[in-house]
Amino acid sequence: MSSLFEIAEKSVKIACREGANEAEAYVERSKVLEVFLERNDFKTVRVKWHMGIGVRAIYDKRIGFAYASSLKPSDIDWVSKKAVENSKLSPKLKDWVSLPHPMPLPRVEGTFCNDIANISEEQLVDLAKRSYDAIFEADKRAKCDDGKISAVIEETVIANSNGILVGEEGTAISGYIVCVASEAGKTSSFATGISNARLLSQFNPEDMGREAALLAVRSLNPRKIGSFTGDVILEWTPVSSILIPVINFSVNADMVQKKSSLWAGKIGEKVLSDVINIVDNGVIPGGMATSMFDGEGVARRETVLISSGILRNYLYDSYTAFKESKESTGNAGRPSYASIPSISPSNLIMYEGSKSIDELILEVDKGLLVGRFSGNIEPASGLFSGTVKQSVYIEDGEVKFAVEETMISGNVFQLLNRDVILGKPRRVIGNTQIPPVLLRDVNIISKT
Amino acid sequence: MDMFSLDEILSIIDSVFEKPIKSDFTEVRFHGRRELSVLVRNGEVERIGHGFIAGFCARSLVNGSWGFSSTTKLSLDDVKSIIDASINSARASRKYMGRRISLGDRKSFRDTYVTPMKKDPVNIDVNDIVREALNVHEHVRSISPLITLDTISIGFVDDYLAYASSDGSFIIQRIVRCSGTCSVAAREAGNIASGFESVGAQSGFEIFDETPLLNAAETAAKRAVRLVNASLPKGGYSTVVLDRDIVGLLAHEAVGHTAEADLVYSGSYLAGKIGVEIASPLITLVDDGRFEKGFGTMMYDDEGTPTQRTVIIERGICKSYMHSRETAYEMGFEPTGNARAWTFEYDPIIRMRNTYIEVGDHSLEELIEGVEHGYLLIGGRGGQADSTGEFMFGVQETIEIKNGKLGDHYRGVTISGNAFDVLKAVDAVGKDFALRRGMCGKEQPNYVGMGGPSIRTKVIVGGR
Repeated sequence: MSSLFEIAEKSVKIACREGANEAEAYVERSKVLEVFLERNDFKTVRVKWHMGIGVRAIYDKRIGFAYASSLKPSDIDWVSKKAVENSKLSPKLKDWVSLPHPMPLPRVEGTFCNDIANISEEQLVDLAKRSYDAIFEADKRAKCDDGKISAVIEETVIANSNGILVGEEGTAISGYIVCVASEAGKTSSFATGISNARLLSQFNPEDMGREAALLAVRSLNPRKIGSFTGDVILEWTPVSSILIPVINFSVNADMVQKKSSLWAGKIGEKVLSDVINIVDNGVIPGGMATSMFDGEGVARRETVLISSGILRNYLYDSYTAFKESKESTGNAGRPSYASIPSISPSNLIMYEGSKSIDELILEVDKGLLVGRFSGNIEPASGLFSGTVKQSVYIEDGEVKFAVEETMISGNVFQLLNRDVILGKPRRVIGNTQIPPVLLRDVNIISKT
Repeated sequence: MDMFSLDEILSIIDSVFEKPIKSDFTEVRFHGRRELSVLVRNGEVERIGHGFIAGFCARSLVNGSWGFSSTTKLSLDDVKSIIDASINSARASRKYMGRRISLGDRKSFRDTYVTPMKKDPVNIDVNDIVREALNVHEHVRSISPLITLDTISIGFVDDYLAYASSDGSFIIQRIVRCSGTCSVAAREAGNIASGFESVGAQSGFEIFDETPLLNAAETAAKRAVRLVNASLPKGGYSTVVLDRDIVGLLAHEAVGHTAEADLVYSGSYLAGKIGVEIASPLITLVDDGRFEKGFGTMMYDDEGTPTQRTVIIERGICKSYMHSRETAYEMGFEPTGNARAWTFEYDPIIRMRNTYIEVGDHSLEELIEGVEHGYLLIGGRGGQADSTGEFMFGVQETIEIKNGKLGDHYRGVTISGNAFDVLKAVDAVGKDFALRRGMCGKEQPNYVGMGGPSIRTKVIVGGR
């Protein structure tokens, strides 16, 4: 079979020959080895070979797209032609400038691991077994409901008619374990432990199992607490599910240009508490989203978003950047060959503070330590509301008991402008690196 | 757009089992998915995309352990190699696995099914789809100058599924789903509100004539505008009338998951409750694999089991769980046809199909009249539930009810509670009914239908 580079270049040629003014091919090939756990046991070991191509064709400022899960010459032909055909059906994008142009790419480290590339089924099952053992060592009341560990090796190549021709190989291993705990005939809520890494040596199956088990046990014997306004310490996962989507939306240049972001026109202004510092860094060694180039072949880099609460930059792809005669920040995200590029953070890093979780608890007169949030967030307005799980009631700086049927609600913009305390350590949750966060005066609602 | 030769695929599948396979049981699935999506944002056509994925997978049972392998290469040799890989994987996990899986004997089927439709989407002119999306955009914008963002999508997914097993089944299904969505944001000064509506069914493009996207978009747009300066309601435990979309979420998220046999094994709320009263006698809850036009409808599941109408709760009594072959055999029931896989890259797990509460005898007005103080909750916005039955889901709009009359409009909130407390508290069930399209995520995504009538009950409303 031809190399992915040859396939990508050939596809661009076909599209241009068919009448496209510009064309771009995104080609990927991967192997996934996966162990799926269910009912406190192993369920399946899966081996997946995966490949595909996505082609964007531009004809007279009109964009067409097509994708296929095959790299056979006849399918490359089809997908390239179909993209051109679709471009001719599309109305003009008046602000279209061009696809990006070639540029020097950064060197990145810690994104490829031979041990992951060559991992065997037995080794993967063994990692899962280590997670299982850690659950039982952590607490006998916990058991595993389901879980998964996936090891991926992936090669990505992008070519476009402006001369971009880039390729990269990367590895990742990620997993989750869901535990429930039972005691005296009562079952806890689902609790999840996660771990992900680019290098096998940084993947910790024991921590993942222990985290799930301890969170599940923490939610046993819950009580109802009534409604009040209090302090809420968000642990890492709820920070990533409540605060991060609002920040992602607000710094997205597309949402800014469409005036949907409340941070439109606020560069240089104070938008969050001055303890908050956030950057997007696509080249940090070993980051889950670290790569040489983004989904359009543009160099990844570091972009400061918030420094001491002041908004510094938005995140751009080529389309939104060229609209403003700027350079893309290398944030064209592309989850797979079947997606068109759209703005998304690479590694979003919110810097930590100096207090551990235990020290944060001492700061709370009356409130909650929240292990998981299950609810709805409106990223544009910052409003969130939902139930808390694996959460405990705190009074006078002391943890009292687990809570049930308890909800929290508020507005992220308002809460992050008050007296916020950032905790430590910073943890990797997906493509974010975040600390725990203490928020003041959050609505806490419960059936009494 | 023939990316694969159907005859070739069928002859490959047919020949795979000519020679005996070195496993206790092996099944091979082919899945070809053709897709079109048109996405228009603020009147700009961001995507006209055709897509295509195709691949084979094999799942083998060896000495009580499963192995699975998939490939996007479509030759007979590739299929043979994934069968071997699935057998090797099964052997690899045997060493570690505690339990031994048995499936029991079954009847084999040779059958074909195609979604009944009048307008096959593959024959629809893409120009017409783009024009319709732009038309919806213009209509949305004509509703109010406060609208700052509108996203309209129209598309279809055309799944071609072939299933063959070492015990003699050979089933071919073509399942076509069409859907459209509209999300709208309105803004005035620093206030932003949003509305979302969708239409869709297992059907041809005639679904857009029967339930126009334009009407759904208008509902979403008017809601966003109405709520832009609205506040959150007061939170607390409250009497509520839940509309049909929210009842669908309740049936699926909060109750349905606890009746999935794999979760029953983990000690979900319904474990050990067959024959026990768990809801108001007004409640009958069904997971139906063959509901007409249901987004989750299929004639056979991805283990080759014929689907059926599975009654989970009948007049308040727990009647059945949802099963795969594996859990049915283990618990001593018949498989219910709930084993489904998202694509050829996944092995089937227990999933719902079309889950709904059956209708009662109250009009919506009668449900509202019976509330002294509470809320009418409208429009679902996704949710999650726990094995305990504790759930949360988002609603789009909250309308206060005082002395049986509708009052002020408030923003959407998240509601929560224990599903079975909520079902026990039901004191009236509506006679209106709708089944909506939905997506469910459980290790892997899948298409489902969910619905029911409006009901009156009590939940925790997360407010200001």
